[in-house]
Amino acid sequence: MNKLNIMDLVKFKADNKTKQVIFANFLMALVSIVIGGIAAIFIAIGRSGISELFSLLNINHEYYYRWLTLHGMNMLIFWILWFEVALLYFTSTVILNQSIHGYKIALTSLTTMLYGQILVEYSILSGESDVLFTAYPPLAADNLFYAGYILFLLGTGVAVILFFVNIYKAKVNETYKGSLPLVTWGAAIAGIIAITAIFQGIIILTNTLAWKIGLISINPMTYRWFFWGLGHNAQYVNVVATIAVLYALIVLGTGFKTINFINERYAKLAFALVTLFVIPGIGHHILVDPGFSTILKQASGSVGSHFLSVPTMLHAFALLGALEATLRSSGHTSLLGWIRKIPWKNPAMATIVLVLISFGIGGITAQPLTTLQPNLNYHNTFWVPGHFHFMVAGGTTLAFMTLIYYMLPILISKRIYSIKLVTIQIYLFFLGILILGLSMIMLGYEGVPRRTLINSSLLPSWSISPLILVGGTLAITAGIMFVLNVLLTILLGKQGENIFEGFITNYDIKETSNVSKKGSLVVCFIVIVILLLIFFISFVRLTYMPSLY
Amino acid sequence: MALISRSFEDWYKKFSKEEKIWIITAFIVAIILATTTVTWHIFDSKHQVPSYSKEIDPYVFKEMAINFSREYNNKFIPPNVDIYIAAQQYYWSVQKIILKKNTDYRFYVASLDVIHGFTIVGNGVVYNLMVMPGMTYGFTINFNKEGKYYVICSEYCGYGHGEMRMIIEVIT
Repeated sequence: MNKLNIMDLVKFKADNKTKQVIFANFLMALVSIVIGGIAAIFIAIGRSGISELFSLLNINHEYYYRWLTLHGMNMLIFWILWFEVALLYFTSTVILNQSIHGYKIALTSLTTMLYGQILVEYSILSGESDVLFTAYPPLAADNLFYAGYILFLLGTGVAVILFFVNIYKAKVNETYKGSLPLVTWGAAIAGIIAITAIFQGIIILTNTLAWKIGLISINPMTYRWFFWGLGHNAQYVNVVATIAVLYALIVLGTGFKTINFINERYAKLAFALVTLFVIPGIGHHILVDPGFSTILKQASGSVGSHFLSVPTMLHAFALLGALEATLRSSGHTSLLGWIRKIPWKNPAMATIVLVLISFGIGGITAQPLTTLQPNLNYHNTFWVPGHFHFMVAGGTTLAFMTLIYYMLPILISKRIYSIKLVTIQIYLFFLGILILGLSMIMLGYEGVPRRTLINSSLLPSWSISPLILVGGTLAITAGIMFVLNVLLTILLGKQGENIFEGFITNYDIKETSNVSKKGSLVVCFIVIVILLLIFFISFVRLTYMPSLY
Repeated sequence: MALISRSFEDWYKKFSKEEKIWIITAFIVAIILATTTVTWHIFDSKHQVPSYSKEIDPYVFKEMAINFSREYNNKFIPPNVDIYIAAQQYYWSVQKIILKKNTDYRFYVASLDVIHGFTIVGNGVVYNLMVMPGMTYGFTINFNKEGKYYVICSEYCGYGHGEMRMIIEVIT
């Protein structure tokens, strides 16, 4: 087993049809991130507060919210779900050593999603649906918007079911021996949560469409509860999928040398814990809403969500620990000395570290948001997008982009066009999101509202807004590099034997059992101390505010 | 190994000492966080998410808000007068109110059309509450610093969302 080579993946049995399906989903993910990225430029300018740029690019309130709707839908729904569908197919076919079962169903799902997306994009661009990604009624969008949303989710649901069918077929046909590979296991957990998300999403959006047509009435609070049944669960699909991708990357990037350093039992337990805690955590979106009881808010919103952070913490240690053990067993034995020896130029390794940092900042900033009382100070401020840009952009998107660099050669048997561009892109993207996210968090702390084209001179402390444009520009530039590199690979990439050259760091592993992971434990403890500090500071801050009850 | 299936005996390993420490730590952290927020109700009852909300006919509430605005817009509000504020695309039913420092004021806020957000900013204060149509949200505020505060809308309500503005002036 230790002799397995990454090149063996290319020779796996999946046929061309399978690869086409995965590739087509990829391309759609790519199209979505391009549209979302274009929208991001205008939003970053809008939030920079530099009014000279507004008139130059014709940004007014109407256009700003239109671009924002486009950005939210494309980044949070289309890009991520297209990619996750591709990931589900990949982990249930190529990795399980089989061709896709239900090729036609996969095409049907793809077409449904495509039509759904076209309807939504059209209705946003036509200016009839400036309701933002959440589309809270009584604010009404065009009928096409809801119809497209529902179609897209339906198509995704079919793909998720097909994923489980494929796993079942692989099990029956014994295309693999033993238990499910860890990455497929993670994808399956993501699939289970995705079903719950899609189910709630379709229910509430169908009701909303019926309300729009005039058949029924809709309660805005019910909508918010169910919509976040979609949004919250879908976000945990992202978290789980990202972590599964990181487990894949850590193995791919070391040419399967991390084999014995991931404790699968531990990782699988952590994955299972997410399904246990995800539903009770829904309530943190309605913490300052009227109409919900304090007990529900406290139990579901706060306590439930706090336990939801447990599995993510467990995974963080597993990943960092595997990285540490790999470096330690090849000769770097001091407590934290291995950190300097991380192969920073290896795309997979760099991504794992950067995503863990991103998730760390995202996780720390999540605590004041998900805790009942401090949420009064942070709800709907810029802090919120600051937090979720670390989760979704610096975390999920970065991990997905790097996985594409590893999956694309497997799918089309070509070398990535420029590995230099890959490394630059990863760091540039992270830097951009870091500046963007931190400035959002600082502005949010001062009370700048999210989703608002607001006069940034209302309060003197709001004047650092232009930093958003700096961070945004860097991240968007990195995004362009990513898309260019992928397109150049598809069009001009060279075929050949060493398609993974530069993407794998080889280690001379001396010891495989009982390698210490002390350093990771220390790093994790430091993060915990910061997390608790921020958490308690947010309570102290609250006591200085005027009393409110 | 993440990408290749392994036999049960191969992957089902005991937790190492470090893993055990970390699992216990993670749960302890979650318990600390959860305990703090639950016990905060006892420690500090004056900084809590308001628990009063009541369904109300928007027309009835509109009447109350208009009456309040007619009498008190731009004026000093005596303590023990209830404050009624209606949110509407794209303004608050009062433009400015003047309050006394260190005095309890009872607010009732509701929306007459779509969802809005009632956000107070200024002098280091940030408070965010949701404003729902057909539902009054009642809360007591006691400002501890004099100065000018802005009430802005923090939930997207349409093109004019960024221009909803109300001023609260707190005097000694």
